Amino acid sequence: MINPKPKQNFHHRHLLSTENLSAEDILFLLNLADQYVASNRQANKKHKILRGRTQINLFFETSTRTSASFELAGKRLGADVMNMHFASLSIKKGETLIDTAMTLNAMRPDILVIRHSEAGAVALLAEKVQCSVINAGDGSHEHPTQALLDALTIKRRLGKIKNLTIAICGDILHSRVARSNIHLLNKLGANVRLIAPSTLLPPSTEIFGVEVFHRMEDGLPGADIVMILRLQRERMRGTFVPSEREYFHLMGLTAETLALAQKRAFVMHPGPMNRGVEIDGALADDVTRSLIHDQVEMGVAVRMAVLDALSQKATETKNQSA
Amino acid sequence: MNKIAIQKARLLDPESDMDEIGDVIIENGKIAAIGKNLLPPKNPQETQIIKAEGDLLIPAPMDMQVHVGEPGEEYRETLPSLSNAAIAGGVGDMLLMPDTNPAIDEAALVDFQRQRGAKEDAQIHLSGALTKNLNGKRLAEMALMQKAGAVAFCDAARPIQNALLMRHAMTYANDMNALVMHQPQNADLAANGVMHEGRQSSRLGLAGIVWAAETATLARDIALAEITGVKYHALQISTRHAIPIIRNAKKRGLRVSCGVSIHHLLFNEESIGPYKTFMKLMPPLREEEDRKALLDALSDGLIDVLVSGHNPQNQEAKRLPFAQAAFGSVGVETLIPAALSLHAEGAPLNRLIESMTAAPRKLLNLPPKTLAIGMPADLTLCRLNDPWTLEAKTLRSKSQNASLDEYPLKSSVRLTIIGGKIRFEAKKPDK
Repeated sequence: MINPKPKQNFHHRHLLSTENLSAEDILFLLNLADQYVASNRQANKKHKILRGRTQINLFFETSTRTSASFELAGKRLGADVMNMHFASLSIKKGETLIDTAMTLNAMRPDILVIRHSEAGAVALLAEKVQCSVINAGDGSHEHPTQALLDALTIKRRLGKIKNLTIAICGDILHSRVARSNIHLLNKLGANVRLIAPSTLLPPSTEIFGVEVFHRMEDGLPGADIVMILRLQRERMRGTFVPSEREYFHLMGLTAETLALAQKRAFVMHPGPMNRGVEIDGALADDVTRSLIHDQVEMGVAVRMAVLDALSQKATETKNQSA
Repeated sequence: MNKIAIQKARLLDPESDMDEIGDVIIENGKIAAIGKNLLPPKNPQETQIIKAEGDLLIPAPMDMQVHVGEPGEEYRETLPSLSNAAIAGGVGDMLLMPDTNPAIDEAALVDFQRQRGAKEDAQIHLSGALTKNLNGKRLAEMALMQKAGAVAFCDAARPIQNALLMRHAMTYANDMNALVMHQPQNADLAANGVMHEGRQSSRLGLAGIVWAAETATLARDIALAEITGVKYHALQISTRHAIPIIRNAKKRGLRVSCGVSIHHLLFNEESIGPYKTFMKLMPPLREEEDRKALLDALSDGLIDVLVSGHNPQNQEAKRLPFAQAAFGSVGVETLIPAALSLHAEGAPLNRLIESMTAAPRKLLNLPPKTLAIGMPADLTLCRLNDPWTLEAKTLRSKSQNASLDEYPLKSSVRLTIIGGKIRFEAKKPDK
């Protein structure tokens, strides 16, 4: 059985970012998610918590794993889940964004899960609709459920997050995963490091309260977790980094570079991977070092926890207004 | 009643070095008398008396950078709606930017806008395009446009990337002693940026525009101004790093000037908060340090003019994800109250007024408007200490995309007189 802590523990109507979550909010979600991990390993994975509720996954940017993970999470909680994928270019830039959301809103969904290629777009839609909104990634801004699942993965493997040294490596500048992880891990007391060529770092890293390194050999020593980000190939046109070959030379994670970190350091990657660009293929497959499959499993549990927590809040609100 | 007597106003006119309590009598569209304790009018029934009670009376200011939607995008702003907005904000003169649809890039279009504008209460001055269709590729017919009435040339807020073309434009314009205006920004450096590159862009995950995008092109422009000898005006500078470049150019005697927008003196990158598209401006709002440095530079006269950069955009263009939303804010209606509000932050009143009156008129070679007998009675009466909060939906402009929405202003406009007639009078507050 799932026993969330007292229900008033989660006060948010939407999940838009990790930046505006408190450490208590995060721990509440992680504890709830932990129970869903156990539940998901049983033969009967089905719950009734969202029975009768409608969840719409609205993806304005292509996605396979996140969309599948949210769909499964909703279905396992008993929700009616509808998936809508808009190839970004088929919609004339942004024009119908708010109209689309308003149309769907009129169909009275309970939860909208939204991904969009522009930073801030999900928050903009959240202002316009009556239901709960989950940010499944907005441009280079945030991807909060990814950070939550990363945290759950780390917590289950290493028993804690506080005081761990976590190195986030690669294209930080364009990464919503990095931003969400930085905020979340800082709130839970981890020591966060960024390792990247300066062309792939945000201009003002000082606002994040992290240590910054430009070479793996400088940033990896002492790291408990090495989080590798995907190098977006569209960045490879010679203005951010010269070539994939050179990138792998500087930033690619191999067994040798990983040896610079803590002896039992684990490797994480939000996927999809570019084998041979940011991570050596054999290392990614090494189940003794790589947590990549754990991350996918935790993803479903974390999204179930988020859906559960937001629906509790929505029920409260509805009962109050009734 | 064909006479107006304004009594006991604080007469402030930087051009004639006047700052005193006095009266003004207006007759036949001109200032008929000015001074202390003028005799009461002989025929009171023929004279409208305005008791100024120490409020500020200034020559009606000019907004030197105003974008309009006529012709082509009348849903954003027409010349009548623009004029109404300006008059309600105490602005008597405006310089329009040529970025209409079609762009004002030939004499017939200058003539069209001039004739349309002549019907309005506010006085409308025109700038013609520097390049055909504002595309930075071929020079526009500047001499013909000048003959039709254009008083300056620019490609509105679109920066010209081709340095050779810019050189030719300046060389050519200099023969006509025309003012070349430009928004300096290097497009390669600005790339796909939508806000200032810095702390906030890092946090919000938005592509930034580095300050050097402005100074790189500003330095290029000044080098070209030096070669050509042209009168060059940077429409708006937004970064503190531009200030020494301007200072140096002026020190060397180059005919270089620059402007700043009121929004860049009130707001900074933090004002964008959670993706507020009304704060998406070109050039972008920069850091608090920049804001302070720009205010100091305006105060000491290094920055010549203060403008609104009035750029009406409808809701559809602003209710979008930040990166996709249009740049710009309306501002002509709030320029003067907002500018006067800066006095509380230490900016000298004299200089604030000058930057919106004598300074732009001199740059554009327009006849002076001062507080003196025989001058046109184009006057604005303002109240320095009159706190109020702007509600964008009350603006007279056709668009309500105001950065200043919900902003607590410290000063207000009471009365606008153009050509000796009262064109706007603020409603008395409901008691």
